[in-house]
Amino acid sequence: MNKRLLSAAMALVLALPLARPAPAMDGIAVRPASGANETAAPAITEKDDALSRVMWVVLVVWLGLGAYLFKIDRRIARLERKIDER
Amino acid sequence: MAITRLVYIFMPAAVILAFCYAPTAALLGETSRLLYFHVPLAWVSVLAFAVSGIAAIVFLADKRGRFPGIEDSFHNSASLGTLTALLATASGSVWAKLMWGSYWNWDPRQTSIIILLLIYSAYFSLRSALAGKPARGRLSAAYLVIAMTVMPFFVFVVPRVFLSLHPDPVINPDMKIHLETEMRLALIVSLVAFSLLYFYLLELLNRLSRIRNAAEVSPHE
Repeated sequence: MNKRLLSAAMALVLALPLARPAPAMDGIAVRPASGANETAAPAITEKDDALSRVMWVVLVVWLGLGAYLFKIDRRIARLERKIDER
Repeated sequence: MAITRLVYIFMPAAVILAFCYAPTAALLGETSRLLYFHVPLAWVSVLAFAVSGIAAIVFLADKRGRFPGIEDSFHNSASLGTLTALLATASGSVWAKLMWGSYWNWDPRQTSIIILLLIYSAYFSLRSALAGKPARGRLSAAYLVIAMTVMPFFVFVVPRVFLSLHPDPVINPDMKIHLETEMRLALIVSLVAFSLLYFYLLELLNRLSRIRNAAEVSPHE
C-alpha cells in the first residue's frame, strides 16, 4: 500500500476522536427539557459515559477481529510462498 | 488487492464516527446508531449475492477455463452474503424490539429476508449434496444465477408492495439519502468500511481455496 496514503489515513483516524460530536436533530436524547437543566445534567453525563463505553467495547472487538484477520493473512501468504517454491 | 487493507483504517473510523460524531435521529434516540451497522450489513449482503451471481455467470460462460478459481469465488461470495444477511436480520430484529416492541413481527421486510435466507440455504444443501460429482459447479452456478435474479424482488420490491413498518431504505425511489450531513458522512464511511471488509474476506477465502486446491492436487509433496 502507498505509504503516504496509509499515513494520511492514519492521521485521519487519530484525529477523529477530537471531532466535536454533532448536536441532536430534535434534542430528545441529548438536550434537557427547559427549566430542568440542573436535574438533567447528571443524566446526560451518564448517557455520554455509557455511549463511550459501548464505543470502546466495539472498538476492542474490532481490534481483536482485525488482529485475527491480519494473522490469517500472514499465514496464508506464508503457505502461498511455500506452494510457489515447490 | 492492497486497497482492501484499508479496512484496518476505515472500520475504527466508522465506529468512532457512529458513536462520537453522528447525532441521534428524531424519535429514534440513541437506537439510531444501529443504522451505521444494520444498513451496511444489508448492503454488503446484496453486494455479495450480486457478486456471486455475476461470478456464476462468468463460470457458466467460461468454456476455455480462462478464469481458474471462479467456482470458489462464487461459492465464497454466497457464503459471505448469507452470513451478512443473517447479521443484518439479527441487528434488524434488535432494532425492531426497541422500536416496535417485538423481535419478530412478520413484517414484509422480515418475511422477505427470511425467504431470501431460505433460498441461499437451499443453495448450500444443493452444493453439499453434489459433492464429488462433475456437474456440481455448473448446477450450483445455475442455481446462484436464478437466486440473484430473484434477490432484488425480495430486497427492493416486496417491502414496497405491501404495507411495512420498516422505514424507506437508503436506496429509495427518488434515489436520495434523507439524512443530516453528519449522519450521512458516518453512514458513507460505514458503508465503505463494510464493503472493504467484504472484499478483504472474499480475497482471503479465495486464496485459502487456491491453497486447498493446490494441496489436493499434490498431497504427497
